[in-house]
Amino acid sequence: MASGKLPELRPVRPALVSCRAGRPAGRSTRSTVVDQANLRLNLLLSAAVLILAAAYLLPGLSARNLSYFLPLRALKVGAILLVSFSTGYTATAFQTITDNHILTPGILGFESMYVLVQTLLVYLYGSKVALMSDHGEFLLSVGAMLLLSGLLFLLLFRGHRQDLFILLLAGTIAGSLFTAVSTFIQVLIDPNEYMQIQSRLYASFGNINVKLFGISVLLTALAGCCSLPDWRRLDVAALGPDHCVSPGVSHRHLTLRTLLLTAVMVSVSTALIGPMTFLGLLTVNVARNLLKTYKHRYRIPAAMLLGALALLASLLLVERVLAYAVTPSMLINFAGGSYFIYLMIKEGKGAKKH
Amino acid sequence: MKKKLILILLLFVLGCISVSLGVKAFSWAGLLSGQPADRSVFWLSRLPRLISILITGAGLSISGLILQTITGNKFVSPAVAGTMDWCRLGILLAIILAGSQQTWLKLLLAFVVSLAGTLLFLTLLRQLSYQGTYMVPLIGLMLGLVVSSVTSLIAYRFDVAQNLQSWLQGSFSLIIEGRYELLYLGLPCLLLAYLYAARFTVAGMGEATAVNLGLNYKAATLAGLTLTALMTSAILVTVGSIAFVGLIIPNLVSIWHGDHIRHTMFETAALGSIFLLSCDLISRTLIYPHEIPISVTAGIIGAGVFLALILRRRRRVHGKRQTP
Amino acid sequence: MIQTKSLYKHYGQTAVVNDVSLQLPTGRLIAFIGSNGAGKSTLISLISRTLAKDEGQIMIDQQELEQWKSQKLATRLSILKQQNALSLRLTVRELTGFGRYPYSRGRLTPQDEVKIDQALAYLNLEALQDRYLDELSGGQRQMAYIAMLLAQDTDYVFLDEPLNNLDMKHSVQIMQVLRRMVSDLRKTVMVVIHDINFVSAYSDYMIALKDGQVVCQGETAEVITPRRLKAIFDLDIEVHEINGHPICVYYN
Repeated sequence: MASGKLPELRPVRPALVSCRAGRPAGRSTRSTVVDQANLRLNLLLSAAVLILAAAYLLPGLSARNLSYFLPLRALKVGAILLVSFSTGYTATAFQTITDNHILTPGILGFESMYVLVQTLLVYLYGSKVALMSDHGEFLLSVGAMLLLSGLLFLLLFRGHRQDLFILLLAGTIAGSLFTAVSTFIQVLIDPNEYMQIQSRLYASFGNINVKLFGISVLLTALAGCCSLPDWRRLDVAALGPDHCVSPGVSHRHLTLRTLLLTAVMVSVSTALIGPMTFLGLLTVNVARNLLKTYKHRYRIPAAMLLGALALLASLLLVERVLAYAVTPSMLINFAGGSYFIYLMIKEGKGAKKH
Repeated sequence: MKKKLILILLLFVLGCISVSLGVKAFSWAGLLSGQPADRSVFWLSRLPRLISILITGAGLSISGLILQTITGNKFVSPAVAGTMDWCRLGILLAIILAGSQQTWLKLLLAFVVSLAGTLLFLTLLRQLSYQGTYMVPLIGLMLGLVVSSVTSLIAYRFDVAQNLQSWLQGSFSLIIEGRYELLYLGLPCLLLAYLYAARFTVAGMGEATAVNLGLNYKAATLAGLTLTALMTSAILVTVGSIAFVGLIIPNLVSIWHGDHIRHTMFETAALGSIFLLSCDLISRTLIYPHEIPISVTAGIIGAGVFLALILRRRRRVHGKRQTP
Repeated sequence: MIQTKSLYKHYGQTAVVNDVSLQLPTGRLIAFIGSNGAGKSTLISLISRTLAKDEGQIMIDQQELEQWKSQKLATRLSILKQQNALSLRLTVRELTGFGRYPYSRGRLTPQDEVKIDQALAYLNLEALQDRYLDELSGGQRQMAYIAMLLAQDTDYVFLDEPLNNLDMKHSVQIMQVLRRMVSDLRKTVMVVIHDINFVSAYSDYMIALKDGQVVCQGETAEVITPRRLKAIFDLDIEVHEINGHPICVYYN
């Protein structure tokens, strides 16, 4: 290499953040044209989701099997909508805050934290957990996850840019620590009690915990509401932590809130359908390429809708075409993983061009 | 010199404890006086176990050392760079092609696939825009996740997921005579690594410096990756995967001895063996007469040490930076 | 002796080194000057084989660069690049020792140890020799790299902006060492420098580049004239003689 290192490629920064103040009525600037196009795109995606959902829910229903099939399928569709909602928000926010396109909160070890909390509960309280209501136990685990991730954050993140990546690496390593500890405890647990948690720990589309669905919706909706004020702040955060100061957005607080909300949303979706590491990566990047806007109020819904599309499509594929030869999460992880490698190669080429 | 003696002494003591420990009755007196029962326990199970722990500990930590030196990143190891995930993919392919009995085929495919995979990681890294200290290991971990998702997809499809699970958890409990000899491959690798040590350090000083000093940079890198892939594959096929040894041991040694790896190789290998021996002793005594898989003990202790290392490094970096 | 004939290097469409034919005098301190992007660093990278050329010929001691075995060439020619952000933890002595790598492939002989001692003594680094590089200041670290270069003991020595980011004291120290390497050790030292007054005070010979081409070369005193500097830098520069050196003033 002539000049030693390649020039560092920064993701393209949005030019300017639009002000809240309205512009003169009746004038269509370039920005409003783009906004309208993005709105149309989001509506289009919603329509596509509806069509796919119908394609999954309706075929083969008759008056006789309606009462059996419909609730089962509706549950799956519900879980999909929930998970895509969580993933769309958490992954978009996460990438904005870390200012890169190839990481997802999936690497942070939240799933292994969830498994650890569940395992610990069974170990400490034994079969009493079974007596506890599902809701109580679930809330307890979500609370423990909030506590743990908050602690990790406070321990590691002091507000430096570098800290964020230390936090990510530490989170990843903590994830494998949690897995090791869980395995260790599972060795100690009485096999009978272990059987109880096993099905709860490794959820999947074929094994959705119906009892948890209601509370999951509630928790996700709550977290979603808490996140709403952040959508505009994320627009500013995309400029980078240094540029957040003068518009008055605390990057540190935003990061903390995003991580805590991620903890809630990920534990909910893990409890419902198990880990989906690469879903976020896939949807956020496709959404970014489709929309070409920095505005999170368009990007986040698009990522959510794309997530629902991807999950519905893979569910349809697995159940109707592939005859359960693989699981939907395997398909998603495979597609997302291949996309990840493609992204890395593409970014590499981009860096070379400069 | 004194430190080396202490390390050797420690290895010897831990080795003796390791041999004495176990469910079957065994006494040193019996072994020395030639009691057949004691002799067979010693030769059949205790000694093979000790030897495989020693080679595994040394092999993993040296692999980590080589990878860290070549990539110039302290947070890289066979587990982080995805080498282990690629190995597992190779083993899976061997099982599908020829059943789980073909040890040599498993080794061969694990080696070929992991070498190709680690090369891919390095190539991607070289041309990537994100090259920060903490970004490199994160990318490696992500790539590893991709590979293992492919592995589990194939395993599920061919119904060998259960079979593969045993390679996720490293354990020495099944090591007896006749089932560990593949590990001896690690010995020539360790020797070669020692002979090539200076080259790896020069390669780690960057391509320009390496060329200036007349080193064939690409050949040295390839040699390092080949040794790493071969040692990791042999260990994975015989013992299973054990994380963190390759990550933390070179870091610990580097703090005391720096990174001229010709000078640190012995310490790194010895400390790796000592670490694994200690973990193994804990694994075997904690719920005696049962045994915790060593990947679990090593994982818990190793992750703890690693987090401490990260915190220490951050404090040092910030300590320097915060003076305005 | 080092010669180039119609040397070219392109990045995309632009020729960074454009038809450069040079014959570098031996036993002198040669300064390469020019604005950013003039092709100085690229040119010395090409000559020191750390970058592949597109076209042309590079001759080192009457033999073409490609015919040299890299290891053999490393005993004739050395280069210190701009970026030396080393991630390895090495002591000053270990780093210096790597200068002997082309001779002993990492197994240091007693003669190597003597050379290392000499290099460290030459730069007054004995007190620092067992310190780790990451514990040193930028200036001290640069001195350690120059010690490595010295231990490599080659006739031709290239340095790409060795004064970058250094304070005045270390800059002067380094230039004095380079000067002594030429006068005492009879080496040919070729250096890329931006500070024209350092060039004026220490170098014997100058090669000026602009847009990838050599615009002017010659003895330092001949090149440092307002007219020539204007042609090289597109800047009005006054030249005053102070203590026998032409000193340039370009602050208006």
